[in-house]
Amino acid sequence: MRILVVEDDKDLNGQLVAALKEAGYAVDSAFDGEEGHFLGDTEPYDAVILDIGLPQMDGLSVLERWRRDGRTMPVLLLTARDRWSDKVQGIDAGADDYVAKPFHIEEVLARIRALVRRAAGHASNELVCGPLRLDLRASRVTVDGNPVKLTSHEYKVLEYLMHHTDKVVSRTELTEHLYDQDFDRDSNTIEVFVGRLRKKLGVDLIETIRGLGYRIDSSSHAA
Amino acid sequence: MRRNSLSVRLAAIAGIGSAIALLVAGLVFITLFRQSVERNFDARLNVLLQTLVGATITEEGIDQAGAARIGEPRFALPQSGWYWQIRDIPGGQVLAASASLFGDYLALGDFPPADGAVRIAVLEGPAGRGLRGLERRISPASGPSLAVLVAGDADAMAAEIGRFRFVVFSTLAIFAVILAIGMAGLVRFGLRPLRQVRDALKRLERGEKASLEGEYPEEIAPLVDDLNTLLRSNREIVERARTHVGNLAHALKTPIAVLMNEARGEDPLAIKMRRQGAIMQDQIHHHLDRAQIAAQTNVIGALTPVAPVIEGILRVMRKVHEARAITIEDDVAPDLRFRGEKQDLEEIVGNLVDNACKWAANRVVIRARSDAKAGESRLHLTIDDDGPGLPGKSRERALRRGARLDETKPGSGLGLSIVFELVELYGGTIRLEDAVAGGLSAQVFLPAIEKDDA
Repeated sequence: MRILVVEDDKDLNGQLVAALKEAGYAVDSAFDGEEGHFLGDTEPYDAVILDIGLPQMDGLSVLERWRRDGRTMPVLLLTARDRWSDKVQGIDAGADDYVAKPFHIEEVLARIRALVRRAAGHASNELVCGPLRLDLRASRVTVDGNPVKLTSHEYKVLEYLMHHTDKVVSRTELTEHLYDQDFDRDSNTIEVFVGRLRKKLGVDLIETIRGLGYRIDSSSHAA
Repeated sequence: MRRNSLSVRLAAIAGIGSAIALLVAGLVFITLFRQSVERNFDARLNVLLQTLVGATITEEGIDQAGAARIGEPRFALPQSGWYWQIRDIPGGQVLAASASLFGDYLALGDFPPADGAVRIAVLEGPAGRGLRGLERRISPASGPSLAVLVAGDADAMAAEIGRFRFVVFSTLAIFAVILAIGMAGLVRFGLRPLRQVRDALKRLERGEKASLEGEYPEEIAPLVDDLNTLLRSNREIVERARTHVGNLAHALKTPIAVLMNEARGEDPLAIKMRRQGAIMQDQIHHHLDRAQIAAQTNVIGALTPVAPVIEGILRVMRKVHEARAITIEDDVAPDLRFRGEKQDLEEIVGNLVDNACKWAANRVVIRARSDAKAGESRLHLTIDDDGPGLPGKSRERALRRGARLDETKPGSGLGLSIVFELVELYGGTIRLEDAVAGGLSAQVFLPAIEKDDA
């Protein structure tokens, strides 16, 4: 999962990025509206954390431009002006949720988790596919109730595929969503992760669609 | 009309003034006319008196037959109202009298002055008719002095004066009516700008207008301009204060967020920082909110359509709670208008609906109705949820400052207390009750007006 943080306060931006990375997300950050808008317009993000009060272009304008151009990723607004008119304005501009400053990082993480889940069409914090269960809150994976130890990269690959069950996910898409923009992208590493995942999970959940990518088919494993 | 009104004052002054003027004019006319009529009458009597003296008083004494030569036939007609008589002085015995007296005589107590001047006598004649007469003392060379009286019918004269009085007073009465109509028009027309100011002020109070509109005459134009300037500067001051407050909030909240998030872990310093940070956060929230409220209540004439505010908040709620299976229903009467600031209505409705959505199991219902009580139009808001509800004691506590009943649900805990303060500020009431669906039902009454009584 790849997240964009647009916040002009360097410290707060750093804190958000650190907390998100710790939670297993690939994170890019921008410090003003122009840069934020450009990144959101060109890179595929699974969610955006957007401050309203930004230099160059304010958050609401950034959001409106994205929505006008058909960018539909979930957006969480950070706002210091937490009057209801601000919230209404934010939602009307196309935001999916808002958090009023000051906030606890955990609150933001919970909202982001919910937004990503919602965007993928999942209602609960647990993604299930046959014997495989993935707890988004605890970042825990179990097969038939037995915990499976995964590295963070393996977990990210599995989480993305679980969020997009029944869809073919290309290696490029995986790379784009799992790494931030500074990462040296090499799609071969994805193959390595998928291979390890198959071994660790013990069940053949991840199909390889030749020439296209990978897929987790939920129906073929329905209990 | 109230007693202390310019219209009443002007009408009273003009009315009393012209009534007195008309009355005096009438009295003067009538007096002049009476004097003129009496002078004419006296002049005629005087001629008759001279003629009578010339015709009847001779060297030999009184020549009764000479009276026929006076040329006034009414002296011969019995009880015609025209009489003469001659008395001797000082005996007072009637020596001769006109045939019209028919053997009667006219009673007079004394005699005319000795210098031969003519005196006017007002007396009562036969059949009780009022007479006016002239009497004069004649002293012939031989014989006693005589008092010669000629009297005419004064009733006819009085009737003529009466007729004149009637004409004068009816004419003046018509004048008075015309004057009254004229004055009423004058007052209406002359005071129209003041009434316009009054109406404009009413519209301002009701919040339909932000300033006094219209063209006013030079006498009151400065007043209206000053008032508009005052209103504008008041609004500007409030707006500026609000902007400053907002800027301060924005400026403080980000650093606090950074500090709070940096102070993680169980380090005693971190715990202390978190605790103090939370206090700072609470204080800022509390005082900034109040500063905004205090600023807003001084603005007169605010009026907020209710439906758009509720719709906006419901858009937010539906979006934010999209993932949860909550249906949010609304039933808002159109044309409802809240007599107050938009922001305040948003805070009231927003916080209550937010709470309801946080706690609801399946369903939240928002209703807005007009509710007239004691002739005053009120806005009745009902926000129901089907959540766990609140027991009686907690309800009281919920409305107090900073009380937070459940720490697990996000929110600063100031929501309900700010609602309570806002509602009180607007002179409304708020009640927390059991909802039919089992959860909590918040009932809020606020001042409002309906569109049609504007």
